[in-house]
Amino acid sequence: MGIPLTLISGYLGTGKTTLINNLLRTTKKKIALLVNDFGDVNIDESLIEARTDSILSIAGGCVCCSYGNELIETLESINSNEILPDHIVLEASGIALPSKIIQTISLMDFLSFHGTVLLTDASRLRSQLNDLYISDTISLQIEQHDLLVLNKTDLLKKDELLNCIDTLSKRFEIRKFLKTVNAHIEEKDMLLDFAPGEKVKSDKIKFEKKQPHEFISSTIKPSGTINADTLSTLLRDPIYNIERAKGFFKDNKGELCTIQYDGLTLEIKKAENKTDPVFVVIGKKNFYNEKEFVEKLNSIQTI
Amino acid sequence: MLKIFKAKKIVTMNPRNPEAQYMSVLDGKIVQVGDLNTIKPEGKYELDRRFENYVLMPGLVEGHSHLFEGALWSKLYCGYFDRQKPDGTISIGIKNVKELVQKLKHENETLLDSNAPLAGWGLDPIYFDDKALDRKILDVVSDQRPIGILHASGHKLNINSVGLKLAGFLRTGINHEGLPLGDDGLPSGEIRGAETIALVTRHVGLGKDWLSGDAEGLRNFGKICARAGVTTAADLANLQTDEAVEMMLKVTSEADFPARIVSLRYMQGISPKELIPKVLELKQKSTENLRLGSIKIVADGSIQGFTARLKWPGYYNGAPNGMWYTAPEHIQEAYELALENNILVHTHTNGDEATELALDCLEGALAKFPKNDHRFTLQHCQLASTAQFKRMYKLGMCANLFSNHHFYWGDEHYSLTVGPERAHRMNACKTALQEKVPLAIHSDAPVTPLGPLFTAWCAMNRLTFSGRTLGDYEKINKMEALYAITLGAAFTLKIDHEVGSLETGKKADCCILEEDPFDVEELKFKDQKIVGTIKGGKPHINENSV
Repeated sequence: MGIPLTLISGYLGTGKTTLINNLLRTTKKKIALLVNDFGDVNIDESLIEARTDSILSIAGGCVCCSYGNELIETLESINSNEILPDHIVLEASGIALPSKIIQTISLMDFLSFHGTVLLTDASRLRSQLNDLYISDTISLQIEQHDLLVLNKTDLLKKDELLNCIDTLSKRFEIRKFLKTVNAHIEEKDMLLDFAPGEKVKSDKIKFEKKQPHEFISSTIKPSGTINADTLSTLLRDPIYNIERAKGFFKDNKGELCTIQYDGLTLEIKKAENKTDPVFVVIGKKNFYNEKEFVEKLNSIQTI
Repeated sequence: MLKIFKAKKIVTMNPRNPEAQYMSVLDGKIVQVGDLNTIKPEGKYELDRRFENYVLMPGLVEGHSHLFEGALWSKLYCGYFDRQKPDGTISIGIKNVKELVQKLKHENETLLDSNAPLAGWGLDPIYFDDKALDRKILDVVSDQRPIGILHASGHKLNINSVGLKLAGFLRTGINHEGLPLGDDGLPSGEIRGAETIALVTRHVGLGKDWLSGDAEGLRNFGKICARAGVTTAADLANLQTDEAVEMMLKVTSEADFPARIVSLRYMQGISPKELIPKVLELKQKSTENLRLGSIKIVADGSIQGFTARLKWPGYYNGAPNGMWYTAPEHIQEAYELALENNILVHTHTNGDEATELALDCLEGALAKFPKNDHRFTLQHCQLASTAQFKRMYKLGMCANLFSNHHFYWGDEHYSLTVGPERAHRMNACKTALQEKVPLAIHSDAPVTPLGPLFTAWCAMNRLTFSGRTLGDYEKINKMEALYAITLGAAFTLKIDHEVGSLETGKKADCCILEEDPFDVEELKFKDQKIVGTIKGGKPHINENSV
């Protein structure tokens, strides 16, 4: 296994650098960072100076598929360094296609590609997908994600946001999805719990493909007790993309409670009738991370 | 002291005084052009009669080349066409794989260090009729040293087994579009695409050091200019590091350096906001011999590489559209800042969609920062339509078209990239002039050889390598072509008040010819003998030419 590498991609202004700054603030890993020093937001230098031990190298310049030379040399210099990083984070330029960069990375056997985090700007996505000049670039970028991040969701009203997600789900095959404000993503979601996807996806645009909205539901019959606060945090965690939840569970005092969640408000109260603890969790296909949610839920139960 | 040049004829490109026999020069500039009687000064003068059997015309202006043309010659030329070296001797073109192997074997024997890489450039196997090149053919030349040969297009490279091994790619299991596999499951040795080529160049002696160019390369470039009759050449995409600028300032000021260089700062790896102050600072360093302070932006890729951005219906062979090399937002922002700061911008747009984008960006930028006479220029601009030329005129843009392309790639454009109709309209010089767009034409050396007279031949005849005429309607006449390679190109660089014609007050920069270009047939225009140049009143005679 080589050094794990995560690619941060997305058009100009989607929050790539903000995401990286967030990561630097919280990480305990030794990160080698290759940034594209081109945008309006700069990497927070103070984070770098304060963390000279954990951040191995900063390479300025354009990490763009058209100028492969510098990218390769920088990556090789990281590999020949005495102290290897735990992880390499590579920020692509705003117009680069992840597939091109991944191809190049695939030739370097000291690297292990850990996926593409693809950011989109919720407030501009619709107009960008209809833009005369960049719609195909944006579409290809989105197609090539492993984790698709819809950032700046706070700039949209609820129905606009739903429309935006609707557009995404109809036009693209989504592997893993996350809504964020200020590109705030947990490190585990970004770097670790993240299986490499298909390394190279087709460059063809799939405009015609329409996906009907399919929902997945999981019926959960908890045999043990669950802390009510922990459960509500879990249901709201954006990484799972849960749309609805409804049913009964036993809280940590062993009392039967009802739970009701509609994607916005979550209500937990004592049950009036006696019944078996069972609840249903619903999410959109391709968005709802069922497996991980169920695993996590099992881990917080007390038998 | 005042110096007077006597020539068989002086073709001035100044319509008020089209021809004469004498030109008086003081401090590198023209005092007068006319008869000896009329220009004869009161005081002392020196009469230079060296060129009394030759024709002087304004020094030619190459509006789009790269200094890199000079550095190339430190490696082996492997092109199909005969090409003149900086020293004036001819490197004979190779016509098939057999001749390539012979040339490489000869070079292999002359290299002393048996492990040193053997590097070549200019390869063009599309003209070969024998079998495709693979690494085994190069292995015949050497199984000890790495060998790498860059193609003329710059988009492919052939490498031998030693080179592949050094790069770590002589193994099975490679799955990469840039590294096609041979029957044995190993990479065939043909490397495709600039990104993939970049992975192997330093193993075959074509690495960064070579690319960045050096003083010797620039001196060679100067020699190539003098051989082509060029006294001003635009260096169209230079990152202008401190060291590079220092080197260029030094070499261009050497007494025997025969050309003026206009170097444009390449907008790459830097945001427009950061670029502007750097360029303003560079502008201050300009000299008579090295002009700095303008910007080059690359909007899209190349048509023959299928990376140019085309409007509907796209590529003739169905290839997907190309890619943006600079984000549209950055082009717009750079245009606005450049207009605000009075900086000239030249933009590479090969495909018509890229041209459209540049027009849209400039229209938006001009609405915010109205400016007369900005002279923003579209470089290559190969597929521009009549409607786009009309917009260029309205917005005050210039076009520098890539006329040489017809000869080298016209047949491919016709049958593969854009199809017959658009191949006929490519590099539409006539339409540009009809729509009153200031016009230049260029070589993009080293993509094609530096030589404005050849470029003029291309624009007048529009012949392809196979002899097909592409776009009879778009041919321009001799006067228009000569204007494009002198005043036309000078205009796009904002130096037409200094060079491009021979008249009072302008620099005494000349191209020295054996014959009057107006007497040379259009079809023979590329074969004119160039004796040398005069820069600022100082002659630079090409070896073996007088």
